Amino acid sequence: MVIENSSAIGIGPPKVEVDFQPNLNKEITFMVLNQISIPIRAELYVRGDLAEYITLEKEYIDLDPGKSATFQVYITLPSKIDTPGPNNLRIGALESQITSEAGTVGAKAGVESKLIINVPYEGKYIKADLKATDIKKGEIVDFTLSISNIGEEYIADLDASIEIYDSDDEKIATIKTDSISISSGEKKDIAAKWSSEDAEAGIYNAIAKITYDGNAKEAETKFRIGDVLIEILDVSISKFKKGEIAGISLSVQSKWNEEIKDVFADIEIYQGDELVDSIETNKITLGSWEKKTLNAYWNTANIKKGDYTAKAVLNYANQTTYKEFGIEVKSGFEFGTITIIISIPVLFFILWWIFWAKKIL
Amino acid sequence: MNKKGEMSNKTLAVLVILAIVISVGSTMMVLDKIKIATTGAATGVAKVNVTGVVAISLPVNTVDFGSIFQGYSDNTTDNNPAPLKVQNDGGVNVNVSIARDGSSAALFSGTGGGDNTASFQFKIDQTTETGSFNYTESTTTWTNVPGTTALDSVIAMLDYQDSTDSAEVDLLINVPSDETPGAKNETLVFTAEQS
Repeated sequence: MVIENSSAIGIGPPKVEVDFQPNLNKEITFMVLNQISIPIRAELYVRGDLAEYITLEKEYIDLDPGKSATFQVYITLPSKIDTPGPNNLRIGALESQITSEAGTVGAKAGVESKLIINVPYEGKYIKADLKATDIKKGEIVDFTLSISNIGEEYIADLDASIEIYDSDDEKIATIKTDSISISSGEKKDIAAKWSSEDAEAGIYNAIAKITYDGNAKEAETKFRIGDVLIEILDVSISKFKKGEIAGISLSVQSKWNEEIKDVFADIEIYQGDELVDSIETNKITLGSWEKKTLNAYWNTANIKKGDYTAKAVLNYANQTTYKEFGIEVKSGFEFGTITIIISIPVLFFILWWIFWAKKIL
Repeated sequence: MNKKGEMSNKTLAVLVILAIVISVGSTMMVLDKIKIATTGAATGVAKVNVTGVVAISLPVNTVDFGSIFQGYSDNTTDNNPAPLKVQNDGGVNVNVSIARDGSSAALFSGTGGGDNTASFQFKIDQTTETGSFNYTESTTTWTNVPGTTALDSVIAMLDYQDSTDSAEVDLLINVPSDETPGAKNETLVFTAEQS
């Protein structure tokens, strides 16, 4: 026996953070909701670190189908908490009416919202997060270093050096930020800029080395200059005649400083506007800045003699590059240049033999 | 007025004209006020603070294994019976934990039964909505169903987008050979929190 869609519950907001202050009294509003077509009873609870300092306005809420309701969570903190850093609690709502029938395994839904009480660390302590913008070649990278003072003490002097590394882990630049001061519990952003004028396209790594009143911390991030790019340098076609296999080679080069996998090309062949055939090359991996060849083979057994237009579409990293080129399909017998060069003197000899040599002889 | 108290035509005319003027004038004043009231471009600002929600549902929340002999086994991997199903109906990715509901006893009480035993196991699997959760980080091999202390993140990073928001919970039962006959049941609790 299966009961459809009879267990569901929701809670919001998903996460709340509160910074510790001695003897803090705070009230936060949460919401529970019923998203199914039968009434439910949501039992409310709190669990986790510091749960003894949290009380809930209600023990349960009855919700009609499609309805939501709010309830208050009261936080009453003591003058001091001995566990520094994030103290994790959960505010939960659990369906209370679902029980499994005899002879079955039943299930019910519960949801929890994270309530985090951030208690400052002793002394001087920071949390740092570094972000950088992705840019086009030659533009300026904007760095944002976000600092949170999660220690008990005021920090008088904080600054950072942001070191920039290329894909070979070579340091290519260092930029210094401004200096700031920051109080306990305070959050500040420090901005910095770097001109990428000489840097090639690719992924770069930035490390912020932060010093604050004799202490140190690092934060790291990656950013991109330019776009992943592969160029089609050249197209070559092996000599072939109608009915034979034509080898088509694409010479490609990566313009990116990291490996690019699964590179291949689709080649569509047209006569006029009509698509005559479609072939695919092999797949390769290109190393950073590497040049390689992709190969495809076109069977001209059922192809008429004539001129064709081909469009090669190179596929890589959710991007494409394309190149058009022409292909001439010739018949099996060719009245080529060498044939003419050889046949002219042979013809003269035959004519001379017929008209002149016989007279001499 | 003449001697008989009757109004002269002139007076009547004046009164009529006066009444018309007063009537029209009042109407125009009223209309004018209405015009001012309706053309004054009053603006208001509506604010809305959109907050995320953690919400899950269990579109399949009951599994009935029917009658099974002592010492025998069954599971839901053949969809007979169908496995439990968990769905993310909220607006954020969630991690889902599993525990036995405190209001119910463990499924089996015979030798080898009870919480955290091989008599009752679960594993997470994909529904037809593949890629709904982080398969590598989830509990995708047979694992003993815990007691009332939850196993966290058995479904890791369950997506909230409608096309990829569901996961199956397969169940396996190994009936102890000395399990007393009768109807057995257990209630599981699936609890979600933001990933």
